[in-house]
Amino acid sequence: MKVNRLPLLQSVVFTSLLVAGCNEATTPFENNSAKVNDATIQLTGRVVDQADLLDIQVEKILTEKLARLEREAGPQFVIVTTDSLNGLDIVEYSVDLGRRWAIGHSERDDGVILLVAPNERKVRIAVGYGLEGSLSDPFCAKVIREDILPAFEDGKMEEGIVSGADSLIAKMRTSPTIKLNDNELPLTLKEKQAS
Amino acid sequence: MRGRFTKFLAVPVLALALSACGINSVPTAEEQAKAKWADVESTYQRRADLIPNLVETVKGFAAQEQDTLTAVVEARAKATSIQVSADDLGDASKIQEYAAAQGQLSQGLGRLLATVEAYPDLKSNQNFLALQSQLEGTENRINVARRDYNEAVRQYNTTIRTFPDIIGAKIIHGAEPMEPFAATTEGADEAPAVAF
Repeated sequence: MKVNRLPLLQSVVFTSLLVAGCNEATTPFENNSAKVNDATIQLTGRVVDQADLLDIQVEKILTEKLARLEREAGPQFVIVTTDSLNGLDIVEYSVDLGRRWAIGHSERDDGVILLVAPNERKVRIAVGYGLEGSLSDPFCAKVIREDILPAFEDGKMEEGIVSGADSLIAKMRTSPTIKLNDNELPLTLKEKQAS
Repeated sequence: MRGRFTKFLAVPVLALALSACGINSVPTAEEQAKAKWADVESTYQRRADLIPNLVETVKGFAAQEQDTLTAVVEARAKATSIQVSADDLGDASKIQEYAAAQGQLSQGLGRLLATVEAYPDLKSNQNFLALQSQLEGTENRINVARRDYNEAVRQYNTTIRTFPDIIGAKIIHGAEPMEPFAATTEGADEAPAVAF
C-alpha cells in the first residue's frame, strides 16, 4: 500500500538548523507573523514536488527510499520543491513547514526537510535537533556544495535533488535514531488504518 | 432541592472561576518565555564557542587582517560577559545591553567574513568551510530562537493584560510584563554574508 500521509506526530520542537547553500540575509524577525500559507503547500507525501521538478517515476523511487529510511533507521525525511517562498526567507519557510507538518518523531526530533525553491534559486536542508549528530552543519553544507549545486547549475534539478537525497540518506543510515525492529511502523499503520 | 444543587455547583464553579483567572496560565506562559530565553542564550553561546577556532583559522591565512580579528575577539569577550538571568527579562535596559553586545559581535563577524573574499586559499580551506557553515547554521538557530522567544513574550504579555487572567496576574502572581528581544544595532539582524 502506498503511503499517502505521513504520520502526523505530535508537534515537534523542529528547530531548524542548517544552512542554505546560497547564502541569504536573514529576514528581520519583525516579520515573525509571516507564515507559510496553508493553502499554498500541502503535505501530500514524503516527496512534495509542487514546483514539478521530478519525473513521476523518480518521485516514486524517492518516496520508497524515504519510507525505507524511516522504517529501518528512524529519521523522517521529506523532500519539498516549491514554486514560491511567498516572500519569506528560506530558513523561516523551512522551519514553518517542519513545525506545521510536525516532521520527525516528537521525542527524537529526527525530522529533516530538503527544500528546493527553483524560482528564488535557494536550497536548504533543515534538520531537527535530534539529527545534528549525523547531519552536522558542515556535512549539510558539503552536500549542498558538492552534490546539489553543481547539478543545479547545469539546470539538472532532478539529478541534484536525487544525489543530495542519497548522500543525506546514506549518512543518516550510519547513525540510526531507532533500534532495529523498534520503530514507528506500527504507528504509521495505525495512522493509515484510522484514516 | 434547589439549595442542594447550589451547594454542589459551588465547588466546580469556584474551581472554574479560579482556573480561568490566571492561576495556571500566568506561570505557564512565564515559564515558557523563560525557557525560550534560555534557548536564545544557548544559541548565542554556541556562536561564541565557534569564534576562537574561526579566528585561528583566518589568522593562518590572513594575518594582516589583525585589526578585524582583534575587533572580533574583543566583541566576543564583551558579549560573553553579559548574561541576562531569567528573572531580569522584564528589564528592558538589560535586554538591550545584551542585544547590543551580540549585535556588535555580529557586525565584527560580518566584517571578518567579508575580508575572507580576498583570500582564495582560505575560502577553499576545508576547515574554514566547515566553520563557515557552522557559523551560518548557528546564525539561523539564533534567529529562530529569538523569534520563538519574542512570540512567547508576546503571549505572556497578552495573558497578563487580558481579562480574566489579569486578575490572577495582578493579585496572586504580581506578574510584570517581559521585554521582547529587539536588535539594536544596524545590521545586527543580518547573518554574516557568506557567499558560496
